[in-house]
Amino acid sequence: MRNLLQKSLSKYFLLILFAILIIVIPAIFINIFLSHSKSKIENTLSDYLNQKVSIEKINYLPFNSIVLKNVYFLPQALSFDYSPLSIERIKIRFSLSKLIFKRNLQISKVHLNQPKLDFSQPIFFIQFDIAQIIEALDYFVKDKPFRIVAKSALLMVPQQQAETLCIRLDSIVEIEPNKIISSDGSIGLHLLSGDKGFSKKIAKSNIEPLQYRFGGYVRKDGMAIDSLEFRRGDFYLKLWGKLEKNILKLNGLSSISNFYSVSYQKEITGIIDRFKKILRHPRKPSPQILGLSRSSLDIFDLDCVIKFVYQNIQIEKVSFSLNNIPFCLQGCISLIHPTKIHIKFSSFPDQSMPARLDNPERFDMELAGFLQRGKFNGKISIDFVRKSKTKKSLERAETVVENLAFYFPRRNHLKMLCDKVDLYYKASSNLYKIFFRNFDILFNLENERFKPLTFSSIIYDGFLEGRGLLDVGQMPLRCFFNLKIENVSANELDSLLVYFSRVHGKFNSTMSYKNYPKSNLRGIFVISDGYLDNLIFFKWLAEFFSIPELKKVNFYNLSSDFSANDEVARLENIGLDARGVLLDGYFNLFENDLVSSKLSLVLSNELLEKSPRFNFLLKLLGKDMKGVSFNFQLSGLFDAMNFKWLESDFKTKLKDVLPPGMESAIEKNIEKIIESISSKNTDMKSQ
Amino acid sequence: MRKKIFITLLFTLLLLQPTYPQGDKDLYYRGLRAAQRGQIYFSFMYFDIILKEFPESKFFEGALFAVGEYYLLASDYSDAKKKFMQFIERYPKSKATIFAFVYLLKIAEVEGKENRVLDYKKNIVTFRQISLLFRDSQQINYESALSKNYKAIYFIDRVEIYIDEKSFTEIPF
Repeated sequence: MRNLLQKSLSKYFLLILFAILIIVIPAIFINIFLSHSKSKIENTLSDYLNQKVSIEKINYLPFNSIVLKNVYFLPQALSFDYSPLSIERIKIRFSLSKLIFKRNLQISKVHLNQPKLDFSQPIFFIQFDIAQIIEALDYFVKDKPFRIVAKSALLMVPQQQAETLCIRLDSIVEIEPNKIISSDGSIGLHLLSGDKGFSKKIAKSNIEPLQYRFGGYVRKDGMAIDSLEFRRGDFYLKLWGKLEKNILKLNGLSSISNFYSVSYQKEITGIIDRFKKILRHPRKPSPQILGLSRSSLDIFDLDCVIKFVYQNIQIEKVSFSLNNIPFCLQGCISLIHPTKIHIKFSSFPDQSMPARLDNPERFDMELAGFLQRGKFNGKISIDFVRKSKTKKSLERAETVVENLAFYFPRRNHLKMLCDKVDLYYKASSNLYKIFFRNFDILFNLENERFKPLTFSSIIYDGFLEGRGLLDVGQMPLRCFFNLKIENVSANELDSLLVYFSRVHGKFNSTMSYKNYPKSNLRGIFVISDGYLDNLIFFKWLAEFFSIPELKKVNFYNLSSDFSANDEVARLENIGLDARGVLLDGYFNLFENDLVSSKLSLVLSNELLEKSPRFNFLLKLLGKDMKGVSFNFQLSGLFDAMNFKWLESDFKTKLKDVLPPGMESAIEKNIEKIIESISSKNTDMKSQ
Repeated sequence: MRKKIFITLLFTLLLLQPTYPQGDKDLYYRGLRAAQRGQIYFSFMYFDIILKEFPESKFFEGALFAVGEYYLLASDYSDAKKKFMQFIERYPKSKATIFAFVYLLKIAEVEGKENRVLDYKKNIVTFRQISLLFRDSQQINYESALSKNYKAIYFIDRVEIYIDEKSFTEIPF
């Protein structure tokens, strides 16, 4: 019995030993062979792909797998220090029987683990040629299905910050021998944390990934796309079409029932969470409003033609109808370093020009610039029609940015940094400009509907900082901002408001803005220790009363409350505290350029004594008058204001002492002067 | 004898011939007289001839406004509008222009065209730039060829319009 057991054990041992010899020894030999041939394989692949390929290790795994570790691709010009495309592990499964008996390497499965693509680098490897792909498929897919699995494929923009956003793709592609292709997987947003570059580790994302499903088949000259569907929560997109000689033609539709709502998967971390999951009963669905809601977005009649030319993506046309408004996108993305982008996006693209110019829902947006190391340089402009109660006007907003970059400094926070932001706004024939430097915005994306943000910037020689809130639960988005501006030289703001060119001093202001229920800006400004240099009103007073001191009014403080909405811009509680001059009152400018204002001006005796005209008047009125108060009411057109001298002690006394007939003579004289000022004003504006 | 008969016949013919107006001036004054008698249809006919036959006449201005007035009185808003617009375009600085705007404003109100109402109000308000030092208002007066008296009183915050001393409209601003 014992001998029998020993015999059988020896037999098994011999069998195992034989098997090891059969499997392991050849495997060792093959591995030695592969390691010797590594450079030859690298060179062959480099020649075939027309770029340098580096493989850290090649292993044979019995019986039918080859594993390539840390494969790097990069253009001939670059060193191997940093590769824009790398794959951590490639496992290739092939048919052993065909290799042995038919000496034919037929690959049945390729498993790509963590391919990483640096989007900021020149994407030299995109030499998209469908003919080459079809040729490769013909070679690999013969009588058995061919499967490609990509796990944790990352499209990323490496940055200096602690965390980097990347797009993660998990995908399975299956190609049948009859060239029918099916694929499904997920596309998600993830954060990379850790050191610089590709050594960063993927952090878990709590944003639900986008699921996709693809069905199509390979044709002689391209590929037919039967269905390409994307889903996530309330979002659904379906596309169909074909890829023909590097031209992608797609049609489709899309719907987002609650477009703002990003579905979050709550991370199950602790025992309590697991317990809750087990105990959770399926809830009754909450009642929903049927029909169109303001927050739903429906895209129909999607029609796109995209051409892949060598290192260029030409968007010939992407047209669609969004909530029954037609849109069209056209442009070109050049992938030669640096990546150049030129995109035009319009609504009502097919409308005739006169109708377009009159359509308040029409806009033309243009984005042009280049991406370099993840930073955008260029300009974004939008032309549109602004419609108010009384008029429609063609307006244009343009933003020129330098080194605009997005970062993720911490979880659920998005930071936007820009070295230079120049804003231009053209309304009618007026151009308004404002320039920011080192612009910095931090968005807190934690709440799915309300996105608080903080921002700061250098503005001319001063500083701006503030905070705000975006409500993405409504269309159009609602926003609210509070900000303060400190120590800006007032005359620098003349590009925003031409009248500031004659105001000198340090401008400080706090203001708030909200766009709901109506667009409304309000705040207060104070200009300290400055002077008014030939301000048209004081210039007129100076000439009329012969007081040259009024041409340059030195002041301690010039302040006012201000507000502006679509109907009216108001300056209230205007206060000028200057040597010998006090001014207060209000000034309203309505959207139809009409003015409504009451101002009170007090001139001191000291100042008036310098005027030969007033000296005479003061003598006439008696020396007991301490300063003269002028109260004005202004109305009419901003460029040709009506003027009324309101009652005051000075006016009453003056009327008493004036000889008969003198009043109308003065009146006529003033009329002439006012007319001359108005025409000068108009001339200045037209210049 | 023949000579006598010829002269008599000629004189008789001259007497029997209807008295047609000879020129723009004649037509205009006939129109004025008809208006004073309250025969505004005849006035309209005379003024309309001026518009058609004497486009360069110095009486064209008064005739054009009067024809607009007549159409308005006849509730023919479309033609009234055309005439007043023509008037504004041709005589932007005339004293009567503000009253043409007033009529266009009223037509726009009747037609319910809100944007035009706002535009015409602005035209009226900004028609004259005023400066009031010792007085409270300035006036524009105009007597039309249809014998209507127009008055616009500009205050600092409103315009009051009177036709034949009756308040027609008030536009605050």
